[in-house]
Amino acid sequence: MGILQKILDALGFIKPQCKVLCVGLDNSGKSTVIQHLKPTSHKTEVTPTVGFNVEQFSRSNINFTVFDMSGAGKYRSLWEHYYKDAQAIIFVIDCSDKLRMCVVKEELHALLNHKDTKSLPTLFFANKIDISDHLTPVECVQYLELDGVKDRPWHITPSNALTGYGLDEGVNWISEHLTQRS
Amino acid sequence: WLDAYHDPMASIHTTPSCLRLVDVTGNGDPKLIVADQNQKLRVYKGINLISELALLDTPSAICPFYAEQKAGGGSERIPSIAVACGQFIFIYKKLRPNFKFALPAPQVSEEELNVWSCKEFMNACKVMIDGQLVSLQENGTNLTYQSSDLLSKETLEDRTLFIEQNQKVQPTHSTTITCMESIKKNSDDETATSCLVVGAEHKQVTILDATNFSILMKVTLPAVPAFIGVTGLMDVEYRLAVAGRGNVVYMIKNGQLMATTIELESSICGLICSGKSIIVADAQNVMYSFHFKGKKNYSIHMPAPIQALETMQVDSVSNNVLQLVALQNGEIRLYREKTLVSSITSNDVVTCMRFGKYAREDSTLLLVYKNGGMAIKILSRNSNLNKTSKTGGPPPEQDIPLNVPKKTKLYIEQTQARKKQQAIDMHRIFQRDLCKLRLNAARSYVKILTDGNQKTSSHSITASLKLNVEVQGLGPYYKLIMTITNTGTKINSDCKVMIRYNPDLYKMQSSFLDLPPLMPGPQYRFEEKVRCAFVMHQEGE
Repeated sequence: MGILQKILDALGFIKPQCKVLCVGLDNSGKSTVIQHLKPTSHKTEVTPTVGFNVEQFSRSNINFTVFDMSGAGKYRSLWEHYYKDAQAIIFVIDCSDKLRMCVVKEELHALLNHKDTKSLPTLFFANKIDISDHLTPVECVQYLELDGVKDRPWHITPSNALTGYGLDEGVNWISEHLTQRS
Repeated sequence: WLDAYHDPMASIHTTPSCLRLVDVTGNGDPKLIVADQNQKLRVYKGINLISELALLDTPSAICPFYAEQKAGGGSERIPSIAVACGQFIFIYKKLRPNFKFALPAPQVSEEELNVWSCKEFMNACKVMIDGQLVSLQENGTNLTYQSSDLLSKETLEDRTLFIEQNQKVQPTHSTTITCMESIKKNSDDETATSCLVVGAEHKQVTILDATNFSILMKVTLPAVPAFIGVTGLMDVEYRLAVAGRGNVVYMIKNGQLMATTIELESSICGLICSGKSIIVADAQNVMYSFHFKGKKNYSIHMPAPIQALETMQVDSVSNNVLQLVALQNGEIRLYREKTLVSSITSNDVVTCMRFGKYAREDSTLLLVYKNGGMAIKILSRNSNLNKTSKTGGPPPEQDIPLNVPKKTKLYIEQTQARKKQQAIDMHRIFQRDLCKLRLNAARSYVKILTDGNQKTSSHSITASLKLNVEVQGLGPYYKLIMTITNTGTKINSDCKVMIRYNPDLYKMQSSFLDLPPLMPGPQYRFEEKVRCAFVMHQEGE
């Protein structure tokens, strides 16, 4: 079985499975990011997620199962129940919403300090860079004090989920890290 | 609480009634509306100022309301904003001026009109006219500004001039709106049709229909309303709590002034309706909570004067209501009924607060500081408002009995017996010792007085002065600094200071100081130069 699987694996028949948790505040663009990552069916209208959605797609030889969590305040307590299963975390930041950066910071630090998320590769999308007057990824890092995060690999990339800019870069980073680990 | 934003340079100067969180454009994104005291209506979205409208007058209150839904209109509801300026209410819809409503002025009393019409022919006997006006005023008639102006003129010439200028003008009353609120008409929905409740300077509270601006109800109060609190529904049952400029809160139930009033010890500086109770703050740092029927629930003493009050409804459950109190010392306290839940300190005095939904965040607190700064705080999701950090009332230790050892039989026998038998002796001894103590005290007092060599701080009998002497300098020149404080309660005049010294060693310009009359309280400081006569020896002191 092991040999067979290795052969199939090398040939690319069976792709490694990977569970990714996608979190972020409400209206930060998580569902839009996921919609764009899926090869099919680009929805134009995205409604606020209730609870969570599960999406599956494959990218760069990995089958991704994405838990698209709702970011609304009352559903944020659900996030921590999924940390255990996740192999990577995508954190979407709305960098045009300067007012709620403090909320982002609080939620993020709650996530980073949770015991189940230790050493999970974490990808940050500094989303909505199409809106003028946005924070740059560097400013986000400074404000969210990400430079102090040393216990896990993390990466921040500017993105625009409407056009898909920057999303591939992020997903490639995740798959690199996942293949390294496996 | 999370600090979302702080802009010390926002330069907002407003009153609590001129700060609202409203979704003015109807797209589900509430904005902050501020009617500034320098006649601007500002609209903030997020942290950015998105528009600024000029107002014609200094606003006294703003209030959002939903006009009656038109038949076949869209489902979305756009609130209008009523801005009260002087006598007028300006209605803004979609941030555009829409309508202007003038509050009808009260009728000028007939006698006063007569007096003024008489004036036209009776220029000669102005004194008599004045007399008539004065008698009207004494009778309790509300005079118009024109008459009051006339009466305030000092000399006869001024009055004559004033009468000549104003002869042609009919005296009219004008009023000023002091406070405004909105009341839901027939459903408790967030976007239900509402009416405006307006309190004005002529001691009237008026309820206006928001669609055609007809007056639905008028109530005359015994005092000028300053704050209005509203609860209930217009068509079902409603109560208004109106705080006057004095220290009385009046209740209006379904358009009728209730006989019950709430009378406080000092003047009212804030009133809000919070859940089922009225929260009133007074000038003596006390926050009271009253039931709508006038029964007092509780009162809490604050360490500093109360600046602003705000009610805070965290979720839609109506009994989960908290009260925010901003104090003069920069503290903002959060109370759940009597218990202090949390407190935030800021380094500036908060003058206005507004809690509500703002820019996607449900529980946002907007603060405006005294220096014009603005801050936005967001309630953290994990904050637990149910915990009680400090329980009111007696501490739990009170119920635990002290570990007092039991009285032994011997002890009881001894004390009972001795105290009963020798009570008179004990009293005598006590009295004698007291006398001795008094004598000793008097003796040492006399000794101090006769010796005269007190320490640097001294107290005399009649005047109760405090004198402190310092010597500055290394020599040969010294400076003698005396600080004198009158610790008594009366002004002390004819006080003199004499300085005694060895004339062989030191020289002074004058050893005698005539003090000015000393007020009780402040410190007086006198300086005197001293020179050492033996410069050659280089020895100070």
